[in-house]
Amino acid sequence: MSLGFARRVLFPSDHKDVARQFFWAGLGFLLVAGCFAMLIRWQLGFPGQPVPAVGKLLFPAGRGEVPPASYMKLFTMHGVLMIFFALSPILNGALPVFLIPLMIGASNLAFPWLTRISFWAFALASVLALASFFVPLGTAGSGWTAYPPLSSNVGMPGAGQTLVLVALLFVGLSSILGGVNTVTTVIRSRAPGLGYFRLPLTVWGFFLAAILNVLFFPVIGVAVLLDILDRTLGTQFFAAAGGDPIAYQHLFWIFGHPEVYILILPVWGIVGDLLAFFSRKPAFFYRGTVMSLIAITGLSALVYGHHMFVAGLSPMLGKAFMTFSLLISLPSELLVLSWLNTLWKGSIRLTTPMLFAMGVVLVFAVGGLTGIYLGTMATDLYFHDSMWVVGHFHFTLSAASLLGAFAGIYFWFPKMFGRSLSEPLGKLHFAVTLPGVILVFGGLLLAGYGGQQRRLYNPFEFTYNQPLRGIGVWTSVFAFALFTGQLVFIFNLFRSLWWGAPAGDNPWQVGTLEWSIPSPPPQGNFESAPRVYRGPHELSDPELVERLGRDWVGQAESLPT
Amino acid sequence: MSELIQYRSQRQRSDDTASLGLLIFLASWAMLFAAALFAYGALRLHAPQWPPAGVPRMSASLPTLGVLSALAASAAMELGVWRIGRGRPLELSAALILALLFGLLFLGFLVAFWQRLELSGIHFQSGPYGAALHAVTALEALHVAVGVGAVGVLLSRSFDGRYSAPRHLPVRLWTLYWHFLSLAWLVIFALVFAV
Repeated sequence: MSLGFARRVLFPSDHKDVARQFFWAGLGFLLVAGCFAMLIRWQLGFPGQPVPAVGKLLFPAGRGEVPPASYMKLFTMHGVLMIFFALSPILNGALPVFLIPLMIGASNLAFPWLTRISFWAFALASVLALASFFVPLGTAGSGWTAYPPLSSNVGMPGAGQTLVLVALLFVGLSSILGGVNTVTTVIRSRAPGLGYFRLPLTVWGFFLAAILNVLFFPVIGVAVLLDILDRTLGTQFFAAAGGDPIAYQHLFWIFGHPEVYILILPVWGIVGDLLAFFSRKPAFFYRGTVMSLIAITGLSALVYGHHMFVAGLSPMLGKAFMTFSLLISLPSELLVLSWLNTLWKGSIRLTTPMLFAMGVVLVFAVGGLTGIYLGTMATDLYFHDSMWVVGHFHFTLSAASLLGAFAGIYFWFPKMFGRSLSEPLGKLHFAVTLPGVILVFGGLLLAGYGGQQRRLYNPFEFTYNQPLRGIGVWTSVFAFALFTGQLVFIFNLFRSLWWGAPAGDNPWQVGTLEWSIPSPPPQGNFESAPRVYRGPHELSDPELVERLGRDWVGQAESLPT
Repeated sequence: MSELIQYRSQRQRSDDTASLGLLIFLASWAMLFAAALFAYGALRLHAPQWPPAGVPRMSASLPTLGVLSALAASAAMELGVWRIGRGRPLELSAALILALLFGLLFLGFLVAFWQRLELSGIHFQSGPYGAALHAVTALEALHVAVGVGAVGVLLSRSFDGRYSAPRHLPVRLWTLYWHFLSLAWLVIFALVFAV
């Protein structure tokens, strides 16, 4: 390993290098957290039975079955790692850090040193989170929400919980600094001619998610910091006697609800662009789509109370939160209708990224509709803390974000690494993943509809849950199939990285700025700042087709006179 | 049309970018203070009595002196920016010395306040009242300490003659930071000590 290589890894000056670091870190954690999901599903499908193959290794105390305390730690760290260490670094780290300068015609992000610090903070958080598994009493086990008093010294003794909370502080710092960088870059570094309404929708998604990152991560920072003080210095901010445990819930959800939009806004942007690109026509009602994204971003800050309908919230306040929550369905509806209208009468190319983007539309619609019952106070009283909630947020937060991340990875992998992912393997991956997420997360919804609570170690100890045993078994079987299908992706990733066909500058034949430069782009990206003449999806314009002999035109391409 | 657009040099443009970046960061940090005050408010509203029975209500005199010294430090920083903008590095140094003194004075008032808390038997670990009072003041004090340190560095660099009328971005950025601190302390004062 040469000194130059080490310097490039530790002190990368190019945004694309940092993006690749976020990319691999995020995918690594996706695999780890996915393995945790498999152990959770094993326990929920076949409670108390030894885990095949790895059981003895992971849980040497018994016969290899998942012990109750370990089960709590598994679902806790599945959530924490998936949200903060897998999806966030991919959707708010790797993709925006890589794409924003390329898509707005800039040579780098506004503050390259901030990009580096943002990754270092993330790396430190990763080390702390991983270290928490190896301390006495193990890692955090109070759910990803870490509500006190469960997350207090009494509920969850040991250094593991504290380490994970500190890790969250550093993840927050990483997100804030990354967000400041993103927002500043989009405002200040756009190429001449690239107005806000000529930005690719992807950039809009990253931009709005970054605003939420900047504004709301400090709030969970305070919640977590006070919890850490309670744990380490013996203060009583959230102690049941004297303190106020509900205050933690407020702070957590003031952040927590925007957080789901932090993960989904980039995906919505990506989907909007990909549907247009592969329908070979402009995005339908581009301005309306952007306005909807902005409206949703604003509303996302006003709805957190719907997570606390059963926490003793005043019914008056609950009504306000319910109204805002249900209002979100209006701009969301406009988004989905715009997507469907973009597809309408397009000449659709079913490439792998397109398939994943269309998958997002489907699972997001299901996820959104199942959320209406949770946003409504009267029904939430019954659905709260049930597997229905778990199914709902797995459709929206997990399935939609994951499929969107895959769509983005398949689409931009050629630009990132200069080689194309295999299309047949990609389609096989899609053919397993889309039915997989629908069957697995649909199983969660069904179990919840049947009355099964979430976070139970063995739901079938209770007589009333026993009729749901079959659903549990089948959901687990589908989950194992879904996980196995991801091996196709891993194989495809490494195969293409080393032996993939060179992608060329513009494999997808689209006009956004990143496709006008070599793959991977050189240091500094553009030879000179591009001058932008048109919007991101000027596809199949009859006049341009006539003059250029192709159905796409670059955003910065000057036409022959 | 083009002659109407005021020409901005590369340096001015990158200075503007840095100022905007700091502004966005301070918006983020404002949410940090807001969240801390939210937690304070939740604890206070949740408590049957505030301060708890048998605990004296703290006098607002030291925090008021804090308000004055924070505003004075802020004003001194602004004065420095104005003078260096006119190409007067010596007057910048003088203003920075003033800002440094007022910043240290602020920290001194807070230390005195904490001593008074200890004397009244209100400790960090003695229940939510003490914890909340210590936490919000410590949050501000930590940020002021960072600001004081920064002014110290600015001062030594200003003695070295590093700043001039066109090149004094760090002074402007830290002035913005000081205004943020003054505003934060005003809000804390209003919510914690005035009501």
